Amino acid sequence: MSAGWDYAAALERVGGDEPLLVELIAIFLEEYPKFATRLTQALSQKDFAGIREAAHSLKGSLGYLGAADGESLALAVEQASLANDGLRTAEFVAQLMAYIEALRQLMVSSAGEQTDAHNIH
Amino acid sequence: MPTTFTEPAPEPTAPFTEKNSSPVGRVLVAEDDPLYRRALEHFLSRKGYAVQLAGDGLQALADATAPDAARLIVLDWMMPGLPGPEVCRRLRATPRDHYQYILLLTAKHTTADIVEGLEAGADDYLTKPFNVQEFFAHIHVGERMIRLQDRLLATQEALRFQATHDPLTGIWNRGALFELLRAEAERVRRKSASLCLFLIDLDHFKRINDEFGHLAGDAVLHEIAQRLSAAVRLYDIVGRYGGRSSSLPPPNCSPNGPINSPNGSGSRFRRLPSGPRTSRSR
Repeated sequence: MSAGWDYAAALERVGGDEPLLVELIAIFLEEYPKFATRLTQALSQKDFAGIREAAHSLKGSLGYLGAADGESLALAVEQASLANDGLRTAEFVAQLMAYIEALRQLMVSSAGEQTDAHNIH
Repeated sequence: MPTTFTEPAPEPTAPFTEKNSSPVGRVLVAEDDPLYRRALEHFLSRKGYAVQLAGDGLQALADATAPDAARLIVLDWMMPGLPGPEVCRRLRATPRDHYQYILLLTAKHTTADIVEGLEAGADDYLTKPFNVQEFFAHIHVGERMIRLQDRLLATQEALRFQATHDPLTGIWNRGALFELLRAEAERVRRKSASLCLFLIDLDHFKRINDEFGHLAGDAVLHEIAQRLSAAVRLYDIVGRYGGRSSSLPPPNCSPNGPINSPNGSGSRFRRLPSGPRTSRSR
């Protein structure tokens, strides 16, 4: 799936501090696999509270980084897990994971572009 | 996604000057999400705040209740150990000398969440994802509240002093003196100890007022109070009993003790005044 990512919104949120945003993206790339693992493990165990917790954390990070679509998907996971709806939760988790994977690729390629841009300067 | 990057926006808030610099100095940031934790640490330290980081609720509570705890606390809602609202409740359960301002951060944003957070003891509420300008606006509200509280405490202390001290001499006033005497008398009665009380009158004081004026008389009273205060021990009590009399009840003073007569200190009062006036009371 294609990942919508509003980089400009994320940049504005951190007051235009691009080095900080790059650092935060790096933190996200490093940290999100832990949440992804927690999410899939909780899903396999039908641990709805665990799913909610992991989705809630991802929702905060995705929203902060301007990934509004991912934030909405994480919210959908939270709500479906709150309703103990296993099928819908699994469906939204799958969409969320696909979204994050696409976003990860965008972020990695964006980091390359930024390096090029900095090299040109 | 953009392939070119915009110019950095202007500084989110005006740089700190003497006028708006933080009296708080230190901010406790309790946040388990490494991304937000890093962002908050970066924003605050760039503005000159000392940032103390806690990664879970229990650590946040321990840091917030330490003797020299930060006055401004940025608290995440969902944290391992203890959730933010529970940290608030436990922190508020024990009143502390200095009020701590709590800004609760969370991705929860329903009315019920906001009510729960504030009812738990948070002072303010900011939903994630937040903008840095918005974050500092909330931080500045917290600083204003802390400044107001400090001013209130200082005024309270000044009023307490005024209510118990003689404005002219700075020593205990009559009301406070009687209270202290009552407590002292009770203490010595219980311990079957003795109490030494000097009731000192200033001979011919009227002549000073008549000859040099009342301002000079006031200066003499002030000087006498200073000398009396300097002559006694730290735990003795010096107060103004009447218009021109001072009493000196040194606790634990037997009739044969080191201060057994006001004459013993007489030489202190007969010398000429010297040095700047200072206000001191016991």
